[in-house]
Amino acid sequence: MQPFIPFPDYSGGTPRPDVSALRAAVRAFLEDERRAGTIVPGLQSWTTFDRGFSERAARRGFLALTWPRRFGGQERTAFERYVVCEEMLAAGAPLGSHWIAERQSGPQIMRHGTEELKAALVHRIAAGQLTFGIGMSEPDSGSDLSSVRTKAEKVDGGWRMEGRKVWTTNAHHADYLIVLCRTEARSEDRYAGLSQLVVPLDDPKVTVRPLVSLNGEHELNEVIFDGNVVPDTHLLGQGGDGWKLVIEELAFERSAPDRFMSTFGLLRILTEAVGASGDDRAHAEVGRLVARLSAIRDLSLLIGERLEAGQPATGIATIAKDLGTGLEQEIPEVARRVLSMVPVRGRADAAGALSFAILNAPCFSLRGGTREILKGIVARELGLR
Amino acid sequence: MSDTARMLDDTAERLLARHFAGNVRGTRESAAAVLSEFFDNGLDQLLVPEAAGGMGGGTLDAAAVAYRWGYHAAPGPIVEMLLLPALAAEAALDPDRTTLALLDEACVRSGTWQKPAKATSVVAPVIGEAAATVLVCAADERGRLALARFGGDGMELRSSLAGEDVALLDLAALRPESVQATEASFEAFAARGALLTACAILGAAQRQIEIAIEHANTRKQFGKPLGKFQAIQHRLAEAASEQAVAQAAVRSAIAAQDAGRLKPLQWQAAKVQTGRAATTVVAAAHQILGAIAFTEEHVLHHYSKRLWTWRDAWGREAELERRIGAQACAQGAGLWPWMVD
Ligand SMILES: Cc1cc2nc3c(=O)[nH]c(=O)nc-3n(C[C@H](O)[C@H](O)[C@H](O)COP(=O)(O)OP(=O)(O)OC[C@H]3O[C@@H](n4cnc5c(N)ncnc54)[C@H](O)[C@@H]3O)c2cc1C
Repeated sequence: MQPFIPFPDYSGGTPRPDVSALRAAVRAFLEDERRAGTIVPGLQSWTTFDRGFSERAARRGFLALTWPRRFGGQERTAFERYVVCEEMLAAGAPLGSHWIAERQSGPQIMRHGTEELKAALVHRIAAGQLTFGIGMSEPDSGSDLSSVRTKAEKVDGGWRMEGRKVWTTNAHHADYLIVLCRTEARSEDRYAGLSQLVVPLDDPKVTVRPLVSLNGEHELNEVIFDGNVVPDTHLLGQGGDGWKLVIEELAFERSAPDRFMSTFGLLRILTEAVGASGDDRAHAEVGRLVARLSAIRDLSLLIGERLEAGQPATGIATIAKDLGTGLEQEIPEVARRVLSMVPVRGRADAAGALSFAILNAPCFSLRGGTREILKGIVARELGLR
Repeated sequence: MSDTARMLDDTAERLLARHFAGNVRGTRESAAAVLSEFFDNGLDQLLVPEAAGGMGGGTLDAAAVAYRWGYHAAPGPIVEMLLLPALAAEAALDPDRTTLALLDEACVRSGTWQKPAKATSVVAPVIGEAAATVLVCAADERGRLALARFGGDGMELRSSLAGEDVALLDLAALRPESVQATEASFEAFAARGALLTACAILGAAQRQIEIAIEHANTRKQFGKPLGKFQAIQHRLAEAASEQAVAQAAVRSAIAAQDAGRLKPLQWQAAKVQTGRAATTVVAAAHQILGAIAFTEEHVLHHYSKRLWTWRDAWGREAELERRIGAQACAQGAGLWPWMVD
């Protein structure tokens, strides 16, 4: 078995640009936002929707850093984008309005969209003006995603849709959904005949209904397609190659720092509460988490380097997400043991942040591919199965 | 720099592959033969400064050799073997019959030995035959590396989990024969030892994962290879995941040390992660191999015992975690900048 990471690494690694000025600029922006009250550490997550925040971030040059200039980007390195993302996540900023669009939908459209679609949408994503949702899961298709039944039938000038998506994050705020659907009847090859369509949600034949999460928040939705027609120009790829496109899109979803920093806000609160005068046991418990975070971040940075160099990273991206979400879930459990407090909700104090993390934790190892599915992918990469 | 490391990796690989093709593991003869090959190939000169006639190698160069040593479960305390010659040169000691031990406390003040406040003993792996001298590597009040020289009397000879000789020094009863100051940073020395140990761990863990996968793909029960069972797949995925995250941490810490910008968090986290990986990988490998690997007839135990030994050498997880945590908890609201700046 080849190790996932060349080790020891004699390549010398990729030289990284000096990012201290960039970090300082993002931190100054985030400090302004904190003062303005848009960031409430420990009481919101990166999926929290705030269009104004996204537009302001875009104006300061913190979105679409790596994109081509003609699409409103800045053609900077993936590492610089990484730095901006991790700074935002560390601050607990509300990224829900642009996150999915900037992370995966925009790049997907740039790679596989028609010229009309690119011209119409990509600039606006870069400006923080558009929100996208991921239309993959259905009531009967979760982990077994290729079994989706939502279908789109060819009609004159477009595709007529029927079907239902669930667990669609922020669909009630979204302008568009990239929907995985069946465009040809199911055949022997279960992965054939699927396509991705960019579906406008302002169509009266599309209904969005809330699915309130156990933490009381409305972020998830059910989306029903009942005869809406999506123009031809909104098809991604060639048609029929949707499975390949979805796999590509999921790779973007699995490697980023949002997969291990969801409870960083609580970790910071925990370290502050323990303080320098904490006892050895508390320090050891916290140190275990901090060491883990530091190492997972190294792994995540390495994924970025490999992707940029065109090297395979499926194995380590999957590992980073699995270990990262494990850490996100461990943080509130350690906080429970170390801090002598009972989680109570309602304020941005330690007890409130602890409650918020406990009530969110189950979703970390479900969304974007469950823990069991991720381990299966790692096992396959190891040559098992 | 990295070409040298690659060359050293090849040298170590050739030397060890040839040795284990014709020799039985775990005998004193085999250990003695490997040690003389180590010297014959000049690997002892790797970390000795050029000014002192050595190769002047960096951490990555030594890491290549430590990794190979682990990968072959080769005998001898490879980290001490790599680190000692430079110190022996500094202390004008005969490198034969000398070994070293890390004592992570500032117990030298104004050039004189102070009884350590915490540690009551240290364990020094013996290089070759019985050690006549142990250099205890401690910090002085200015954070520089001090070498306290302990003679052979009063040492207890024991053996490591891997069955190799170690000298146990009772620090409550013994005093050094002499103390020598150096200009080297204690922190950098401890970091290098930890990172080389981490590399030895990663080499051995890598080989264990390979052995476990080979076994899972060939051993059949219930009419199919073990590797077809999801429980086995997930166990191996977990082992490989711990290995990967530890590799990532060690890789960046080594690069940082060779570039002169290593932070304590980086090497401490790297050692902690390799310790965790060692524990997970050994447990998974033994579970998957079944009874055969609980015997001396199977090769696996040579790796397991070294992994169990190395995870407690040059920084135990519990102690390093405590130190990382104490630092992190002293940052107030500045945890994030402390971690990444
Ligand atoms: C907060 C949140 C946000 C989400 N946002 C979106 C979104 O925006 N868009 C979207 O399309 N989807 C979204 N999802 C859905 C998510 O992708 C699915 O929950 C996930 O793919 C799992 O599907 P499922 O929930 O139907 O569980 P199932 O697939 O039914 O799985 C249930 C359990 O069985 C296990 N299991 C399934 N198959 C196997 C197997 N072969 N071997 C072993 N165990 C198995 C799973 O690991 C899991 O533990 C979101 C989910 C959450 C919780």
